[in-house]
Amino acid sequence: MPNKDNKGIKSNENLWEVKMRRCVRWLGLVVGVFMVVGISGVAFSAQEAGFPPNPPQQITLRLLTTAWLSPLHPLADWIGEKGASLYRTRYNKWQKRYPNVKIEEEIVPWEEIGKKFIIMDEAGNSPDVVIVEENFTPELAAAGRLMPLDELLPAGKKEDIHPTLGYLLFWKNQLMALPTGTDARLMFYRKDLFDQAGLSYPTADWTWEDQMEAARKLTFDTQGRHPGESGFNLDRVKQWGYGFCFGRTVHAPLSVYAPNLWQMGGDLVDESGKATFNSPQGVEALNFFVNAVNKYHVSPLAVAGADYPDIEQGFIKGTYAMVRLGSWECTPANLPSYIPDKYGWTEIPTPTDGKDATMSGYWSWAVSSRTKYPQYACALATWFTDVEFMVTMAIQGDLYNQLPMYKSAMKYLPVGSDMAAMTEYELRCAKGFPKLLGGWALWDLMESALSSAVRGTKSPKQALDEAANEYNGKYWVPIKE
Amino acid sequence: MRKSLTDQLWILPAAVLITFLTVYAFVFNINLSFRKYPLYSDIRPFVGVENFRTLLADYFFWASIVRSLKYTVSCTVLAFGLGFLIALLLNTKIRFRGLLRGLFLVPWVLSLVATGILFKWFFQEPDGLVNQYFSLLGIRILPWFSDPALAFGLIVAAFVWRMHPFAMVVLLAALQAVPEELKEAAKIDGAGVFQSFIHVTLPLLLGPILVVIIILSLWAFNTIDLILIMTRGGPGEATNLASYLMYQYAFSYWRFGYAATIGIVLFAVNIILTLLYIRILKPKV
Repeated sequence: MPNKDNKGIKSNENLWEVKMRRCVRWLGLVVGVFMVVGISGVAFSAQEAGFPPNPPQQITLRLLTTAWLSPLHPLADWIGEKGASLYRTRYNKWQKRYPNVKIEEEIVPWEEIGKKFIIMDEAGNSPDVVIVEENFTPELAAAGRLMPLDELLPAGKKEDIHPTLGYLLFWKNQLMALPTGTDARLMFYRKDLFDQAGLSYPTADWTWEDQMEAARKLTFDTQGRHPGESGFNLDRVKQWGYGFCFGRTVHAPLSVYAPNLWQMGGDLVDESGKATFNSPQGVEALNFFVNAVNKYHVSPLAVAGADYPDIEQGFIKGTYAMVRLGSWECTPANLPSYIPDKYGWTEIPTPTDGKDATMSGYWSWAVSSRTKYPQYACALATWFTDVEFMVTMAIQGDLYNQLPMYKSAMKYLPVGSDMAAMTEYELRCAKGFPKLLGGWALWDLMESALSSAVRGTKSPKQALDEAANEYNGKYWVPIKE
Repeated sequence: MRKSLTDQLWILPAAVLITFLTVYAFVFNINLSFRKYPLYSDIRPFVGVENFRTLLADYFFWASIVRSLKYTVSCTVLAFGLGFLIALLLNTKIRFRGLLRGLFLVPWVLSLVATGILFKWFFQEPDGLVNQYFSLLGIRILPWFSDPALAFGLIVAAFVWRMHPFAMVVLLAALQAVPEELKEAAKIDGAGVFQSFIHVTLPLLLGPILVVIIILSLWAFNTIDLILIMTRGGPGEATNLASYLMYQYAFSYWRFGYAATIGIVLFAVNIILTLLYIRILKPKV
């Protein structure tokens, strides 16, 4: 019974107990709510399609990648500090989600990664996940080196891939790799050199003739004479109107020649993979470059031996006023580092009755068929090819070599931005590597043919005919899916 | 006897390992050459001598062999000649001989890859360092990598620049090993400098000369680094040597069987070249 004399204390005690009980009740309610939310969150995450739960024991995934696509050691020199920071953040989130999944990375130069994977796989030592160029995917898939991803992916992911460029990733109608971002071949021009010559900048509706006319005015020798003017000295040219690489580089047939061929309505190969670039359209496309060197004298003979970096350097130095380069040149590590405000880009000029065309290439995440952890390997690939993440990285990092390859990405791109314009261009008219097996001989033969034609040792038709016949007779492998 | 056996026991593990790796690789290569071994397929059938038959009729391959032989002869003659001249110079009592010896060894310090990159930078078109100097001097700039003859000359020059110190070092050591008494005796007998060189010094150098020529030839014939870095076989096929063609078949076209076949033929050519030199020069050694 409460003591009337201790009524206050007892009352206080009773009151205190009541208050304590109430506090405990409220605390229990709050904790319960958090628990419910937390468990729901975890449950939701764990059940998020395509992402298995954290494994009970530690596993290691081996990843073969190249420097600028490395999630563990992103190369800030190439993808900028922002891009690298976003990549690291994304990787940290992966680690938090999968603390028992350790990733071991092996980084190789990008030109060697496909070869490295094939050799490793032949030796029975393949990594679990590999990042490869798209043109390798059919060869890897045909040899059974890649795991089909259809059953492992979240719903809708496969259907979201851009169909025109993404076809290389399918083998026997199964998806073999997930694309990252792509790029586009563009025409870059030096604004300062155009200003000095008093010319308007190129526009998207330029034709081949417009380009050659401007190139003629932008080419001059040490005495200031232009091609076609009396006394013009071809051995003393100080500035060239147009630069392109026709040396021993895959850029020659693909980045430079192929868009012109597609603009004319021709193609590199037919559906069976046989070479068809020696068509009349192919000869006409090649004549554009041959004439640039030998008829209009707006490009030096040096282009016949030039590699892509030679042309890039020449553009930076001001040797060339217009060049054919890739959209990746707009990333912070490239042209903005060397000639900010001095360059511009536009779509590749087309022939008068031709159509728009450009070339796009990309990298993709693939899972080895030898992996012991297919679910986690695919989850890793899916994690780093998440559309929103890739678009955010591309926009915030100014990564113009990561133009979106997923249809759902367009909604994330700022309207009117360079990135949106480049993406719209490549979605509209880009083509990529054809699907070939053991097809690198095609590029070697074409490089040789293109260079010979520009040097004048063979006519364009003869050069292309010889290359096509050699490839079809000796190297062509029918695609049997 | 016991010491000799003990010595052999010590080197036995390394010898076994090297022999195993070499023999195994060779036998595996022979096996590959009798198969179609495309890395873009998991079907690798045994085809007998079909690869060899195809190779016999392969115009590109024989053209590359001819190019390789031209390259080998040019590189060997020039690297040997330059190395020998420098060795003769350093064998005389000139000022700063020690310093010069060090300077002439500098190219040897660089790898072939680094040498290739250096040459590529120097001769880059249209405005690499060399062409820039040409422009300053009012000389016509040259299409170093677009002209087949110039491109071929550049890969020869790169090899000679990098390899001549090897010839220099070996021949200098050999020159310094020639006994002075023999030269003095020849002098006493009335022989001039040239006669002394031809009849006294040169015969004693034939052994090292043979070694230098063989090694330079083998290195030149099997060069791939310079081609990979500088020209990739271009312009056209002007610098596509047989060794590079083998690399292309293996690592670009993924036809390991055919590449192995080329490898066997190149091995045979290497053996023939070596035996040829020994046959020509050994009787005189």
